[in-house]
Amino acid sequence: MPKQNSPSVCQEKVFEDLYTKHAKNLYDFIYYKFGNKNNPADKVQNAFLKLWENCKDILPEKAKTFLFTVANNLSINSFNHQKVILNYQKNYSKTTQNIEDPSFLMEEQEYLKKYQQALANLSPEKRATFLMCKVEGKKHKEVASLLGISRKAVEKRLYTAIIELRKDIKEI
Amino acid sequence: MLKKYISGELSEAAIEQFKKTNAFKEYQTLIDYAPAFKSPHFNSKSSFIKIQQEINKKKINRGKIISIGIISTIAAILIFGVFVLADFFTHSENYNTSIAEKIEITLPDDSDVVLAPNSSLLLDNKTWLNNRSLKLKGEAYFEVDKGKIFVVNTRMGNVSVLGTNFNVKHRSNLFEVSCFTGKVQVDTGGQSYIIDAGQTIHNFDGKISKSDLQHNQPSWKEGISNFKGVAVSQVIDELKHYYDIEVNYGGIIKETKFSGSFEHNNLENALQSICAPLSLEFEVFENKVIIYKP
Repeated sequence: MPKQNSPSVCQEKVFEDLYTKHAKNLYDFIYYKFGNKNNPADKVQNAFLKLWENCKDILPEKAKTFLFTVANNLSINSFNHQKVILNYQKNYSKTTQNIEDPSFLMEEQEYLKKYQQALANLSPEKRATFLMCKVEGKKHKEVASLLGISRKAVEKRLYTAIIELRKDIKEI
Repeated sequence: MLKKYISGELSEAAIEQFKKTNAFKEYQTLIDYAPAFKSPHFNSKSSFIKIQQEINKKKINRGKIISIGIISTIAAILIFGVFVLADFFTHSENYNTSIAEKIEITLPDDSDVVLAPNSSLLLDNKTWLNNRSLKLKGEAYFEVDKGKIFVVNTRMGNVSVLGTNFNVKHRSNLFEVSCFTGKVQVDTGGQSYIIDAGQTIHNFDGKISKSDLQHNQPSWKEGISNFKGVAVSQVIDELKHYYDIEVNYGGIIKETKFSGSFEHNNLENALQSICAPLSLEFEVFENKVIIYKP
């Protein structure tokens, strides 16, 4: 018989809390790593269903690792080894004011196109790490704990990602 | 430099110096533009609801297994024989489809059923033994082998046949039976009707009407839904059985009649074929659709 007083993933409350805590991060991670064609929302759902099926054997504190591993494996299985092209907001501009200078806007668009290419050239792990840190604004430590690697490793990935991006953007 | 800057190992003076370099400028532009690649919005609520639905489906099955487990340990071998018999009589098969899912089922008497999306079919062994009787929610196409009387029960009426091909569609306020071969008897709204091959009967909110069929197969099996003078609100409800979407159409008159069809494999085309004849326009944001008057 399972102990009633210790929290278990089988309790709906615990399960829902895990969902609120991890679903968005998991979704972002899978999206940045494998792109939209991989259907990240689907992978998140399946990972949580697997968690529920195995709820008796998984401690709540181990659930995060389980979810990330399952979603990652599911994605790898269906991954078609094409380059992951991430969409960007077409009218994204770093300046908040309206700059009327069309040549500047053109340059900006050119830059974003190159950026997209360069991101596609990165390895999935580096891309996910870089975007989790810089787009989602996560601390290195947070990303490290999400991916189950050390902070040093996150920083190394981040550093090499930036070097590669810079080099790529210059060359394209 | 960059490596140390990232891991926060640089002193303030060194940071100041580093900020003056070209490398830093390039780094800063990279960071500035990174948010353009932000992940699309994740609808966590609707996703969780789906997970719960899946879980509930499984729970029903699990519940059965557990209760059987408990009973059998208590009663063990003593009532084992009785138990097997009881299980045989009360055992029921439940088939479910979710949005945009179709399944084909072969019943114990070799009759075939194709279950349309978002529907459920319950086969109860107890009633099946006396006569072939099923419970249906949603829509299904039946090819019944000849034999004892075959009954499909829904909340809005029953269909009894001996051996024919027919389609039953049941929604909250609509009951529709189309007969493709042979004859069927339909009991709905407290009355009995005999429907011949090539005819269809509707009961919409208590109003009963008969009409002729144009096809010799239900069109949803081929991936198309057909309508003739049906309110737009109903057409959109139907659309939701085939696409996992939320539709907002507050600005248009719900009673507007629609005649036409939509396909099940391409949302853009489906919306286009509903909106164009009524001179409406639509926009799609992930799984949200807005329909409006231009």
